[in-house]
Amino acid sequence: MTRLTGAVIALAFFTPLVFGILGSVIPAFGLMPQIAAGNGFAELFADPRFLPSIWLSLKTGIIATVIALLLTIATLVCAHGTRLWKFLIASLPPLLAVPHAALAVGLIFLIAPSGWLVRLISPGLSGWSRPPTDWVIPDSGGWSLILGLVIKETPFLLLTAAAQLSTIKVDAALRIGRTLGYAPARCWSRLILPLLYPRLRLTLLIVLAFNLSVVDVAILLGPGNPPTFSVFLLSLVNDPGSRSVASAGALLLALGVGLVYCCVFLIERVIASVAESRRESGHRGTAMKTFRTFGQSVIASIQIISIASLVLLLVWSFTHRWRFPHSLPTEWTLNHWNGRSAEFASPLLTTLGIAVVTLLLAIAAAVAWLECERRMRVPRIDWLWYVPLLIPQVTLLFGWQAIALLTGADGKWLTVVYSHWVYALPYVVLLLAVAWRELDPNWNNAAAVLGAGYWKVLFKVRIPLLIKPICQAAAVALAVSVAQYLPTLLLGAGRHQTLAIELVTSFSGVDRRIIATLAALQSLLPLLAFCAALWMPRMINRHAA
Amino acid sequence: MNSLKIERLSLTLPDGTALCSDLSFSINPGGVLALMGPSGSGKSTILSWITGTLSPGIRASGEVWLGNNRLTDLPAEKRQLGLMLQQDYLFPHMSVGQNLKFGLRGGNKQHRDKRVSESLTEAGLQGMINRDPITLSGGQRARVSLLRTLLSDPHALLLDEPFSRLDVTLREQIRNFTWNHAQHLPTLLVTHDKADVPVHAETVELVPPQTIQPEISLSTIDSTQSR
Amino acid sequence: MNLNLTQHFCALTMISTATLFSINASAQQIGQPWAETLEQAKGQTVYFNAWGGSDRINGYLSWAGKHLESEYGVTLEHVKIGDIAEVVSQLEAAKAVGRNKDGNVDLMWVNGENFANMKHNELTWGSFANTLPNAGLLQKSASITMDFSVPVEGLESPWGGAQLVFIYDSEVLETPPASAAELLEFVKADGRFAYPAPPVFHGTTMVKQLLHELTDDKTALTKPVDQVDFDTVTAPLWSYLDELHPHLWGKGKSWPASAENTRQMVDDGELDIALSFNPNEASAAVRNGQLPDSTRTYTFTEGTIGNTHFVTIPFNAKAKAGAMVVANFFISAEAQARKANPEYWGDPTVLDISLLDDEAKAQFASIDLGPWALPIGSGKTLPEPHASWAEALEQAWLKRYSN
Repeated sequence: MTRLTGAVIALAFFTPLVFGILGSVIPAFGLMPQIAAGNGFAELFADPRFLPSIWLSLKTGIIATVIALLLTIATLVCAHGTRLWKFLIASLPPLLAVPHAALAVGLIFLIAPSGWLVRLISPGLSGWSRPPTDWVIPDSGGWSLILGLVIKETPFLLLTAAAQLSTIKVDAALRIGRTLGYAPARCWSRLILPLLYPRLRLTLLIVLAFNLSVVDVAILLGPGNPPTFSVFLLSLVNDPGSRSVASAGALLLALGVGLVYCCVFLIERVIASVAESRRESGHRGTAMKTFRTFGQSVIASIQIISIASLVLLLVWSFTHRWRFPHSLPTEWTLNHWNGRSAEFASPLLTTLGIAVVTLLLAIAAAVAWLECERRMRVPRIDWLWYVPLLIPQVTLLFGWQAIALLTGADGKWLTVVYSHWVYALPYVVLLLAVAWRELDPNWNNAAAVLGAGYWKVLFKVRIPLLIKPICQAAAVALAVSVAQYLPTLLLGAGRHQTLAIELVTSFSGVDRRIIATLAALQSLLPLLAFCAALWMPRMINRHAA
Repeated sequence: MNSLKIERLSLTLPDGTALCSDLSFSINPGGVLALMGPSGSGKSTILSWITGTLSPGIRASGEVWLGNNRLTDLPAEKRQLGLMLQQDYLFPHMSVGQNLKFGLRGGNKQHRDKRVSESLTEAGLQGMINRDPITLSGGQRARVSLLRTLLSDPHALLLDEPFSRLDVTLREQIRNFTWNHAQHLPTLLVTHDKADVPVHAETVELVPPQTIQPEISLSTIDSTQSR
Repeated sequence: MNLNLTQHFCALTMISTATLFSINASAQQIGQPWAETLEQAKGQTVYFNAWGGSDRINGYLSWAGKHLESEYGVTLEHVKIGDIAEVVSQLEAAKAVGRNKDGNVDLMWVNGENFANMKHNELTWGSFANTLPNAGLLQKSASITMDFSVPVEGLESPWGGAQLVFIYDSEVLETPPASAAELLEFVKADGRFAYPAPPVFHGTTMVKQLLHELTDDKTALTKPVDQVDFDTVTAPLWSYLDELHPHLWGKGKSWPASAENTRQMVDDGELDIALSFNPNEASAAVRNGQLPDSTRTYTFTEGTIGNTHFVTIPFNAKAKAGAMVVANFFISAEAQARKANPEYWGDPTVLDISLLDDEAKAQFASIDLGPWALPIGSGKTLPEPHASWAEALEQAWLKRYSN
């Protein structure tokens, strides 16, 4: 792999980021009159939805992130080393693969006043013969959106944390701390969290950026009037003549997210200094048994809610008739899967086509990059890969769309694939990097001594040895692609109807049973990919043997 | 000070392998018992059980007493046993002083500062209080680690191969340092190196499980004797 | 004076450019023999941008697609859109950058405000609609020649009729409220009602409906909004809504996402009354297992807002011949009869049935709406306000009720 390959990959990855920002900045100030007239800021500030929607986004984004972080910590403290922990570690990755939108749909079916939870206890336990009117989903306060974000982002944080635990010798720290007389929770707060947090920070910021700017989940679970800031901006960019306003908003969103990052750094400092002075006190703390039980039950409920939401999608997809307050459908049918297979085939194939090409390109680029890196042709730039995940998606995409409109690239299949690739590549590179760097260089040497050239070593030794992480990274890339809503929507010009697009566009209008089937289908794709990622390395290795 | 007493300890691994059965012994204050045996014979697991940090899945029965105080069902943090491992595990996010203060129990700030600086001086580490542990030499780290354990006021000392990672030249020095500080405590030493065992110690030889019968005669050993 | 001259000159240039453009366009296809259009259309793919929020409509279009493929060799691609305004904005952008051919959209589903916008910005191709062979079968009514008080002039071809109706479960509700005043009484007595928040289309229509009933000056609604005293005309509406909202589902803070959503909520029991813009929707929904057998449809006593929806060909469409073939097929007796059948869609036809042959007449006669749909002949239709009202009402509504 030459230096040129590395340069091409870096250029392909980072150019869109620059153009994305430019494509938002220029129209915002009215400098792209072909597609956006006028200076957008004045009109944006005058819109009655401007302040309420910003407030809503800040509230939901920050509260959801804080809850997800606290839950992650509580789970570590309360469940680490227990049987529940083992269950979580095993059951979280597949849940993580389920697209946000599909899970959000299941959640609505679960917690609405006429949802499954109420149906299960009605009318017997609750006395409700009609759905209660005490709450509505989505609620105006954004709490259902917060719940939806929490159940999806907590697993992400928790798994990142779990992956880091081995690098900070948690078991030894707990042993030493406890024999020195510290209650387990104190061991976590004084010994482990100070070491863990810096390794979790980047993930936390990604989660924060996501929660503050998410579109699809906010359309499904967020209040409609006003909507969250990103959804408001999306409605503007679709509104004739409002692109400059939307671009101005996208720019503000990016700045706002940056400001929140700064607040995080500030709060971090404060907490760190308080924690440091408290560490010296020598107070041992008490074993909070009830807290432990509480923490365990909270994370277990979160997990159960996610699983129940998915199961509910399946149940609805086989429902013909299911009225309130029956606990289960009164009439079942296979029609939605059977009779509509032709209707679902087209979005399914579109989704798969984009996802498979995305994952192949992402794997190829990641392998090439890591090879360049290993041979010192390119520098290690780990944190730079995170950049697209740290910028609000709305900001980048408005920019890309503006540029695509100008160049006529919108609606092209390759444009959509390219945007998916930019979002899948960070995960693929960072997942593969660990395995790539850990692989014993002596394998190379052994093969080279036997006379194998560079390419032969790469394809016959390194890649087969690393096939397991490669398959896993491919599954992740597929999951990322399948879940992409905004890039497909804004760059696809309606030409590429993926499952994600179908699900979100038709959610409010189409039959609930069809929506459930679509969402189930969208969830099954990444789940199957993860199963395949477990099974394929074995198959490949068996053939090799 | 009280003696540390182990009664009828049996340990079984999740796969059913018996690590030891009906093991009993007792160590008086100032006494040293050395658990010896090749790796895999269960020495460290026994230590984990005594400190209350056995990994879940290993089945255990037996009792551990400190004098008349039954520790068996207490959580690890209530047992007040000092544990030293192969690595020193000085916490990287704390200075030498902070590490020691982490171990030290009770007292107001003034008193705590005094205790820590006294103990550093006594160990020949004066002036190191604000140092980052990573800048210390191996011998210095070992001493800080032992001081941290001792400052937590343990009622017994459990040492798991504490010298094996040190340079040969350092070992003797740290051994002496350790035994000097453990004079008033019952001490259980796990090692595979005969040289680690002080002359006044009793020795229990453990045998790896695959070569032993379930009814091993360890139960007969009762090393209540000290010097 | 000088300024005036310049303005005149500009206007003149614009007019002549427009004329040139349309002459050029008609030289391509409009008015040419239909056989030629059919020939050109063969093998073309028509990207039809239409709201994709209803599975029955989607199902109808895939039927139409099969038919067009086999009969005319035209491939129909249904591009599912959340809001057709998005497409108008894309076309605007395309026009601005001078992409005058090979556009992404060949045919689009449109009416009202969006049509007015397209017409104003010259985003439509030309008056193709009257040249379609089936155009002779259309009803000769005002709602087909005027789209929200804007003259159609053949720039779009009618596709179906629509009227705001209310759907309820007669087992839950004996006598549903039949006027704005009764609706207010109903929600105050814990009746369950809500409408989607404007600018969602059905929400805006509900607001128009209430305005029509409550305002003292109904003639003002047919004029462009900047020619009337908006505040005076709408004052009774806002005081009514202020009183209504606290009693709605969601307490005036949460709103159903769409009219289809309200139908689902009636089935769930969260609401007592659903909105629809399709008088026959309930009929299809009951057959489909989405509503109970006791479902009924009605309108307010004094009538409800109704209109016609159209399809149009954008100025830069790639497959114009194909798009014309599709538009013509859409107003064929066969396509309209299937469209009117609630089993497939249930949308009122735009054809004058008396002009059809006997076979087609029989097809329409055989449609069974059941007791669930709006009984034929009931429900007076009120005209849509002028197209400019939608935006004005939406903005005023958002200003007052965005919390």
